[in-house]
Amino acid sequence: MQHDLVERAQRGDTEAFQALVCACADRLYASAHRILRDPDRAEDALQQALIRIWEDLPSLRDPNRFDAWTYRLVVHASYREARRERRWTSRVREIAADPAGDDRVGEVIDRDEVERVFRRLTPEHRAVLVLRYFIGLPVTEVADALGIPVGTAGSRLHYAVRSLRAAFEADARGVVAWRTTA
Amino acid sequence: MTREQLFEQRLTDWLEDGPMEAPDRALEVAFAHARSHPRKRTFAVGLWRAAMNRIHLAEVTPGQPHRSRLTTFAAVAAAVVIGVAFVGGGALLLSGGPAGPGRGGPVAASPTPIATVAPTPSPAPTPTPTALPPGAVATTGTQAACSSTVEGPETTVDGMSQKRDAVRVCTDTQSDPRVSGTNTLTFNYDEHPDGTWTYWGASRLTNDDGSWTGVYDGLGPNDYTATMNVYLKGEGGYAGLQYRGTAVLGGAVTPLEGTIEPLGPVEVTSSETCTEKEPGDTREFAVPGLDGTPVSVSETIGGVNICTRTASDPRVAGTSTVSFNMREAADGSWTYWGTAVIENAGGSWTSVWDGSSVPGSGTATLASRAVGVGGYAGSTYMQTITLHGDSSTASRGTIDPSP
Repeated sequence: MQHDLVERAQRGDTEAFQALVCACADRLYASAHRILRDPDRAEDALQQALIRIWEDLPSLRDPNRFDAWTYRLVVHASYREARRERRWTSRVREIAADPAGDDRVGEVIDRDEVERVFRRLTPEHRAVLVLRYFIGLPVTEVADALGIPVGTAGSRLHYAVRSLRAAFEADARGVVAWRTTA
Repeated sequence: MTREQLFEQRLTDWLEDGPMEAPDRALEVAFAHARSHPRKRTFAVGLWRAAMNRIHLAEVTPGQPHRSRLTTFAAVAAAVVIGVAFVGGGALLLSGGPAGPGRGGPVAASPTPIATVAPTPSPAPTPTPTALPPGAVATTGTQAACSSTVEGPETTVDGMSQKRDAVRVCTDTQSDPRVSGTNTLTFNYDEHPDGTWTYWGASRLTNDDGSWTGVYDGLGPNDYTATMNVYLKGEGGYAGLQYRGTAVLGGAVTPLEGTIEPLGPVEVTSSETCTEKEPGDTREFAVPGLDGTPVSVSETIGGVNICTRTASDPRVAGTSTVSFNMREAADGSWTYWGTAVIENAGGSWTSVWDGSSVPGSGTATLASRAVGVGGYAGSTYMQTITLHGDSSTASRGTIDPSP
């Protein structure tokens, strides 16, 4: 079904293109949002990717690779958005800790720390994390989608996971200490 | 659940926390863009643009089948002709550098929502195996032990990698010792939006008895493998000879395969894709039709396209800048004419071309003649292009080398 839609869209069928977009837009937007951590930039990245799908679809040689190809386009659009303006990287949320709160306070701090560490990662490292742990692609397919060697995908994933793991664990210790002293 | 599994579960949960539904506005903009940028164009320039981006010739705009079909021919024809001019490459290397191929065309990518279309290379046609001509000797071997002497700048343009002017020194070992020795290669690559990579550069192979200079050019489906076409011309003790072959990038050792033969004409197949730089000026006017009643026809003057070209011979692969003009006749046929410049690591070619559609046949035929400049001075490149109604193109030509 998708194969047929892709071929029709390649020939200029706008209805087929719309059907393809409706089927993939949510996952592409969700991916862009996870990489950029910003709804407006994610929307811009999605828009760029969708337009690019229309413009470049004739160059897609294997219609069965449509899904992987669209991930590549939205990831590259996200790279462009991330590099277009870096100011947001310093826009780290300041969440006031409320000692009178319940356990949810610790959870908020925990998530905020993860957010902080995630934003410190480069867009390339965020992309492999998102494709691996949010989309659920195996590393080989992450590499294929991004057009990078499997070894490169693996090393980026290793670095990103290590950074986040340290944040999770350090934050967990911090939360415990805070709770203890509160 | 292990500690690792707990971490991964926690990470997955964290990533899933967020919006899952795409904003309608982004979809609406994309749909509007597709409607306003159809692949079937009614006007000549639009069709030209479409054709340059691989639009199908067979498509006919309802209500104007005659005009639209022929106009599309024109566009495609011009695109192919333009292909007459340009770039090539030919030697190979790989070691220490980023795994990937490249060539010099601009990687178009618009940061604005109204995206331009980046050149999308077609697979480089590889020479069809034929019986060896008189005096030709087949040779095979490897290229290895490459070292980087100049790393060259690597930049990222709209998320796409580009490498320029790196230099690698490799050791070629072939069954014919005439093409064994030290190979110094310039190395360039471009990543393209469709995930393919092009590689190109110049090559100089030397040993005790003489040297070979030339170019290489090729396309890879990803950034770690590519098949390159190689052309080298003999100098010194090898004067009067040429080497044509392939090299397959993708590992520490690069397989080589080719033929040493007397310097002479080489048949070439090629293809290209283009992006529009200047649409040109289009005017429509009335002329007497075949039955005497006025018929509206159009003419476009001064259009310019930038094309990425692949070819079985790297001397005519690369980037071409094509100036095109086209005019519709009262019988619905089109004539096309213009100039083109092909550029690559070995030199350039300047050409003039013209041709016409064949009413009712679904084809257009174009011819071009190019003369070499720089490293190709003294050589000529003649090419004939046939365009078919199913959008396929067949381009054949001959390079006649300088003595």
